[in-house]
Amino acid sequence: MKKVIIKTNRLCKSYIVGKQGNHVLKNIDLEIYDGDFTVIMGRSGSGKSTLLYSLSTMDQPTRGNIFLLDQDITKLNEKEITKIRKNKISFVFQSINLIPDMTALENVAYSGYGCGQRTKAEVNEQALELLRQFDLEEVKDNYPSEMSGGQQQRIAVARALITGSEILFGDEPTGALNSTASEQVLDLLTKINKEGQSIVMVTHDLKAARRATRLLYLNDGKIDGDLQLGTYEEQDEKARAKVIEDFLKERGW
Amino acid sequence: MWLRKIQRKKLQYSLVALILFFTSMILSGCLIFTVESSVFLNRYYSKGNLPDTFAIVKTTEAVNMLQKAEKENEHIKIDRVWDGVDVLNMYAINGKEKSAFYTYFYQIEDYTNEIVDISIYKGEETKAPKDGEIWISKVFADLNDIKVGDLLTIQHINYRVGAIVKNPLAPSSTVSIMPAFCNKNTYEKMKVNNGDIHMVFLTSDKEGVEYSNEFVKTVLKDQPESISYVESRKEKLDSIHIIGLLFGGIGAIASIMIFVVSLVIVKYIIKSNISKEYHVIGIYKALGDSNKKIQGIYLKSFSLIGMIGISLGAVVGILIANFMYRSLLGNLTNVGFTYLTVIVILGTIVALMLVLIVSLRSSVNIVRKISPVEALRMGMTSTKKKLTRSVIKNAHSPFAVAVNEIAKYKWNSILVIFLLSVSFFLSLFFINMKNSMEKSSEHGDKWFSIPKADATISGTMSDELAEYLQTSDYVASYQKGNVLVNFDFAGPEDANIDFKSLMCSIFDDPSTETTKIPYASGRAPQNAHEIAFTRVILKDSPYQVGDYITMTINGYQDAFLITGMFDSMMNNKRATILQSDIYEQFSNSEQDNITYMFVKLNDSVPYDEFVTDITNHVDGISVNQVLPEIKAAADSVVTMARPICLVLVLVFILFSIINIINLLAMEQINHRTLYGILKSLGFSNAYICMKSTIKIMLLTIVSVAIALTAFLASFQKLFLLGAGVDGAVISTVDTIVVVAIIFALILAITMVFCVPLRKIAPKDLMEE
Repeated sequence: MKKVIIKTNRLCKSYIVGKQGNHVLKNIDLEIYDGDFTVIMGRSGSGKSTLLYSLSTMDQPTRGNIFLLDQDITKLNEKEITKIRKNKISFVFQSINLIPDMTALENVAYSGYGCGQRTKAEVNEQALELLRQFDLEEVKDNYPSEMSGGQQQRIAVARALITGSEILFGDEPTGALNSTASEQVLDLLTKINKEGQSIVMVTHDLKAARRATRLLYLNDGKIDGDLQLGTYEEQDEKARAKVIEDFLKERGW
Repeated sequence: MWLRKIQRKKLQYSLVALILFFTSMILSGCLIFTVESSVFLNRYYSKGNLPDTFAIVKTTEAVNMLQKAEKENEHIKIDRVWDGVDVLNMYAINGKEKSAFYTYFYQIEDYTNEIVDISIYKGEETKAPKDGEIWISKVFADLNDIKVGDLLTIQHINYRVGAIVKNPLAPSSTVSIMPAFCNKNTYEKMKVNNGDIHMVFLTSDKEGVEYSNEFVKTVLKDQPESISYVESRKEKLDSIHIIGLLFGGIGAIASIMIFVVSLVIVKYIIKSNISKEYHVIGIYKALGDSNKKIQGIYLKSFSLIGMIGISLGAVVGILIANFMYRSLLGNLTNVGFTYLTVIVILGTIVALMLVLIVSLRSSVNIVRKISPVEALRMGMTSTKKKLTRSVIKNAHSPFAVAVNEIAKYKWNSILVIFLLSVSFFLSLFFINMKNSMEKSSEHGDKWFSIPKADATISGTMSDELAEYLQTSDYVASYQKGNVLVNFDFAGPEDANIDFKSLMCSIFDDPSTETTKIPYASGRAPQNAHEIAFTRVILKDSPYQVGDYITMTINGYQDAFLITGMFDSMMNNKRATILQSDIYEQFSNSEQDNITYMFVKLNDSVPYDEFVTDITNHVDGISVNQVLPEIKAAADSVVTMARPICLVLVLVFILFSIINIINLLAMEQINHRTLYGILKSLGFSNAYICMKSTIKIMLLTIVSVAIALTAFLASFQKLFLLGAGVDGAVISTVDTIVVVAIIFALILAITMVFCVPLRKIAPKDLMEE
């Protein structure tokens, strides 16, 4: 039995625009499991990014509960939420969002300082190791403006991993990248997932969706489909693609 | 499109408008003040508006001689003669004894029909004072804190203050004897116990005032003791003009400095905006918009905001001008503004707008260099910035990150330091200018060529007094001197040194070691044939320190070596110092012999204790910490200077605060995404706030250091340049207080700017 790392209970999120209310998430009950590469898909405006931000503490829901690693995050204060962001979860953005005046190595290490009992030297060493693993050692002293989009996004993934977080959230991490760079990032995510990292990712990219072990479909603020795919293997890609396409077509994709 | 831009960035544009408003307000205020006060004073003290000469003589005989001579001189006209009494003895205000200084009471019948403009400032508006009542000059009232209804006791008789009046004879107390007024009946009563005095108003049809001044001296040359004082409208004008020009000029220079700062900030804001909007500009260009059209968005939006801020500021500058105007001219008459104010306001608006537009044009030139492809490729994944390496490696703490940020964004840091340094410098300058003027009476040696002393004794210079001073344990040293006396000084024709009633200080030992009077050049006279002049006199003369000059002093001619040049505010900065051995050669009247003892007390001797002791041992003397005349002169300057300085300090503090708010607002806007990233990475609000605060505080500390260094290095010279005396006194307390206030305000504002961050979710910050 897989461990539940995220559980929502009647999760709702609404925005007031002018005099009208816009109900983006409507009473969502879902569970996300440890070790899964969970991908959330849906048409534009379905609420997938909103769901992701709520699950990842980046935004507050309007109603309902979210249990993240057994803690109801809707009841926590800012300080407690900050601790969760620092130590328990990490985020990879579509717009990458590296700190522009820090080098690649500094961007990765900066997140790691103050996490756990490690010294700065240990964090630096780990950051360097991550860059090595991701073939980024040669750009360790470069600034974001001196790197390609793919390199930057891989740095962002390294930054997400250095904290030793239990859950990695991704909001269309390949959205701003070309296909080569996208592949590199997806390979990286697949690799770390196989090593045990839980990932929750939003995407509209079918190539990204194929890497999922589980696919959730969001339609009009509600979960409209839940597809178990199992671990990604390259040789199974075509079959996975077919399964996913059929799944999505049924839902009007 | 450009209007929408203003709507979207309301806060930023409002702050820019406010910065330009402040600059314009100070500049137009100072210019209006300078122009209006100059024009007004020149007109007020012009020939035709006032008599040329006001000669105060002591006898009816002297008046008769002048009137007789007038009939024989076709160029001279005696406009009016005022009869009055000379009150020199001790008097009391509301029962509290005050030592006297020169106050002359003149009888008038109808103030509205007088030769000089007298206006009632406070009190009953009757044509003349009632029986038993007196009217006093506003200067005198302010200096002695006298109100309408107070009782002045002169020679044991009480007189009620019926009104406080303004008049051109008492613009300040730096040179004037302050006239007071009574009616005929009161005058007859006062005459019984007090000396006779008459003010003769003369005008000549010649250019300037010298002819009528000379006329009086010539007519009464055989009776010089009958002349109390001869002053002209020119000296009255100079005494007040000098202060007006000082503040108007310094204020205008300061406002130009902050206009330069404002321009730098506006350029920075535009550059920052364009950098942030590179991507958008690329889109505009890709869609076919021309450079001119895109530049126009920025030009129009900033020009409109600039126009609003500058125009409003220029108009509101009237308030600053009005405040300074009334501080300066409040003793003269009721003053108002003329069409010149409108011209100055329009001129300020046009000048500042022209400079702003030129500056804006140069700032938006960068738009031409943006290629659509590059701009579209840029934006979220890369910037053009070339950054320096981190100063502190492995930075994590808010302090370390703040230091690195300061170093990496050095132009931004330099801008903040520049802005804060200028603001600090100007605030320190004006607060210490105020302090220097407030301390002027304590520094009589620098300001008024009076020996530095803890106590000044006047009255009978008896053997008893001399013995006391020699033997008293309270007294460290003492020096005899005749000060604030006036003699005629005439040099050779080419010397340009020819003064009637030039103020003179005469000492047994005039050396700087004894008197502490500093010399800008050379040294003090040491014997009977040496003389020192003030800077203003020597500036206008080909004779300099080290030259020999033949001088005629009150009819006595001799050769003197010019040994030194000093500064003094008295008598429109024209004075001399001599050694006392020469004194008996030209002093021919007891009235000239106004001798004082300047006493230095031993350390930790309380002044009051000394006064009690000396007055118990010696009769016929009066003891003051500061000569009343000097105190009056100093107080008069302080009364004008203090409010002006305080207002300017307040304005500069406000200006720096507004700029800090603007820079912090921009920092927040520019870094909201970064703050969102930091929040998403698990950095707390406290961490982010601390980082911002430390960064601003570090920049502020550097600014304070630069401003303080520049201030300490330049204040003395600037003060000498502006005020004409080496009277700069830096107050440690005031300096620390001003720095602390600005520091605290900056800190408070920085913390206030942290508050909105707390409430915003990282997602919202990153989506912006």
